[in-house]
Amino acid sequence: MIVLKTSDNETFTVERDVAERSVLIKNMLDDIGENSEQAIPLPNVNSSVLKKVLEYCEHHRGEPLPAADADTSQDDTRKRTTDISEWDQKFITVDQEMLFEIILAANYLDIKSLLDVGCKTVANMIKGKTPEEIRKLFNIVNDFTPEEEAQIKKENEWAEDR
Amino acid sequence: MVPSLPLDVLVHILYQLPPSRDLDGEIAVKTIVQCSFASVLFRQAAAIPSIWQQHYQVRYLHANEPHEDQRKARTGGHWKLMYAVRRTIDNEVLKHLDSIVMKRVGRYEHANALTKYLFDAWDVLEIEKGTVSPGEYMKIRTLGESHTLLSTKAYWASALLTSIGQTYVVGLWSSLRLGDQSVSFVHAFSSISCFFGKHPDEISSMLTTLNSRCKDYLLRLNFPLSESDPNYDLKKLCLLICDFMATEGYGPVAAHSFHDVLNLFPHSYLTSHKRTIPLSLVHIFVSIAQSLGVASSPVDFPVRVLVHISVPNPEVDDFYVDVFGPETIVSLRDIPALLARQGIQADNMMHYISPCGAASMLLRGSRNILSSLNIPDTPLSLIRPSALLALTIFVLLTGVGGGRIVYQLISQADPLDCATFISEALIPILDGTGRVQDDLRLGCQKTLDEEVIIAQAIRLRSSENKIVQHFVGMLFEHRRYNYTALITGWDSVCQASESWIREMKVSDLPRGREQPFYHVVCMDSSSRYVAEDNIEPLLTPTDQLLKQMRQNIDILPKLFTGILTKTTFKNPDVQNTVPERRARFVLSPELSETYPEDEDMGDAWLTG
Repeated sequence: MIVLKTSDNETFTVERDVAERSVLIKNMLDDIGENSEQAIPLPNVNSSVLKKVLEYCEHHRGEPLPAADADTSQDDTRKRTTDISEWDQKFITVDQEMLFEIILAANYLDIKSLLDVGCKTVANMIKGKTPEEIRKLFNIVNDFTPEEEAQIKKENEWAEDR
Repeated sequence: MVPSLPLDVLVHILYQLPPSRDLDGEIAVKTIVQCSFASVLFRQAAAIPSIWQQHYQVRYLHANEPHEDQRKARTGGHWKLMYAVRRTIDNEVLKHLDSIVMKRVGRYEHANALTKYLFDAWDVLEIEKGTVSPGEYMKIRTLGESHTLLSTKAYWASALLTSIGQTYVVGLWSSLRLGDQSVSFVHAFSSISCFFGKHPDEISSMLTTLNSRCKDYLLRLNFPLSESDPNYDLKKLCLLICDFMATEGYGPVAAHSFHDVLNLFPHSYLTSHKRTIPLSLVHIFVSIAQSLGVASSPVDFPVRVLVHISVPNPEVDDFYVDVFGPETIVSLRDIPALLARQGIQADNMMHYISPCGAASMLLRGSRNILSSLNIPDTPLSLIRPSALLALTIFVLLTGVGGGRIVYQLISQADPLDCATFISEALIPILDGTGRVQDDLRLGCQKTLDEEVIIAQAIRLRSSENKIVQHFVGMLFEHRRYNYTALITGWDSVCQASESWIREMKVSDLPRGREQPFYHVVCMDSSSRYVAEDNIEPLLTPTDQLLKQMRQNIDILPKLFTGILTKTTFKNPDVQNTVPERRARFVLSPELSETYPEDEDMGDAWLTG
């Protein structure tokens, strides 16, 4: 069993193969050796998010992990277009704040399949949206100078509706 | 509070908008573009080259190679910039396409300009052609439902793909005329299918697949493929290639199908017509043999084409392969006897047994096509492109026209052919042929001038043509000959020549020549000119009939965009009354320009 410690100082005890869905944790365990009783600190993840993430890891335990050197850009297109499975779909149906937290956690913990599920969900949310709608969704502001904006317009002239 | 996402996560999100050639892919690309406008960080994510690389590589499978190289150099190979440049070209192509679809006046100037993009226009046209699904093609809708121009647009996209292919292949073949040996027989011959809208790569890749399958076949048999191997046996190898071809289904065609014109086109004899004629089998054989390092070339032997195999050892005679024959290997000493059977003397032998290049095989193919076209079963839709192909090869490679050949060529060419490959590719390379070039130029100009006049005509019913009873897009049965056909145009009085009027005994009709006459297209794609006296409107065409028309008449989507129906119950009070479902074809923009009032009349007729 492995002990994980969140940013808000909660501890979670999980089986090793569940925790090792995270490449970050797996590498840490490999470094500190088999029999360490020490809790692994996860300063970037809070307990409510980790609880969700572990639920995902639990469900997918035993599935093959992607090859360590898999380069995102070279990934097979078909794999990416595969629809999200029913369980994952249900799992990822959370409020937007939690969705983004899960994505950040998956990115930090290096759980590629979870990152994909999260990003795919966000990708579906932004499909066909206007820049203003995208900003609202991501809670960001338009930080372009007028010159930059003119430049972008020029770069993307080809995409304007005919 | 929503946490902010770092750059690498944003990039990952954009990767989840996968490329494709359909609407989803288009939405994906547009979404990534919208992201560039959101913020500085998003713009950075949306500019990552590998994101654009995947979209580029899915959308752009073809290019005008020299231009593509220039573009790569100019953009430094940056995928986003390359994508933007190609999309800009696509937009120009689509603008031309829209004009071609929407307006007959000026159409062929646009076609001429579009074809000049050559393979840079290929992908976008292919995508446009694909936007109409089989279910949407010339769809049957009920009156009131909105209809689209998709089928008509797809028709023109497809026609322009063919024009581009023709322009390319005429250029390729023209180098043969100048004696350029760098164009191989296999490639020159594969490119025949350009006349049928196939990209040359499509045929090449079919042949490449076959080549590598043959190699696997030989490896499975442990057959040595290296000349230096002591067990290497060239004759055995040639026999095994023929065996391999047989296992793949390629072989001699039965005598009764020998003259099927589809035996002559690579895209058909590589797929649906694998039992085919000697020349086509030789094309496949030489492609495979050359891929295995065998020096092989066709030989213009009488009756059937043989393959000449050059043996590297100077002490061993070269030999011949008869891919079609029961005796596959023909040795040099058998040749005089075979030729004598055709009445050819031994001292004239060399011409018939020397390896020959692409030009003589293309000419042979061209002769084969012309003789196949005399066979009565050839579908009408194949006759025009086949004849055009054969005559083009002939004029192109011989530079000999005689008034008749050029006249025949022009009579098979429609305005699109004249505006594109004939004027842009064929005529320019005939420099030095004198009359042939002049005749072709004049013929082309005449076709295009006539088209300009027809394009400008407008037929109004309200004024002088009130007596015309039927409308463009109406189905009818011929009262005398009982065939079913579709009206594509009308004249208020017979406009045919005096000799036609005499021959057709027009004066025997109740109303003679002073009655409306209709241009019609029949189920077999043929066109006729019919007097109103002979027209019996078809009130309830079956779905089957409509589908059959959709399938058989290849120019249908040029003239019409779809089918409208309206079901009416004639006597609602009478029980078990059979409903009447009328149908009419919806005029394409070109026809509604010429006949601006026929659409309304058609709708009125549908309602009964």
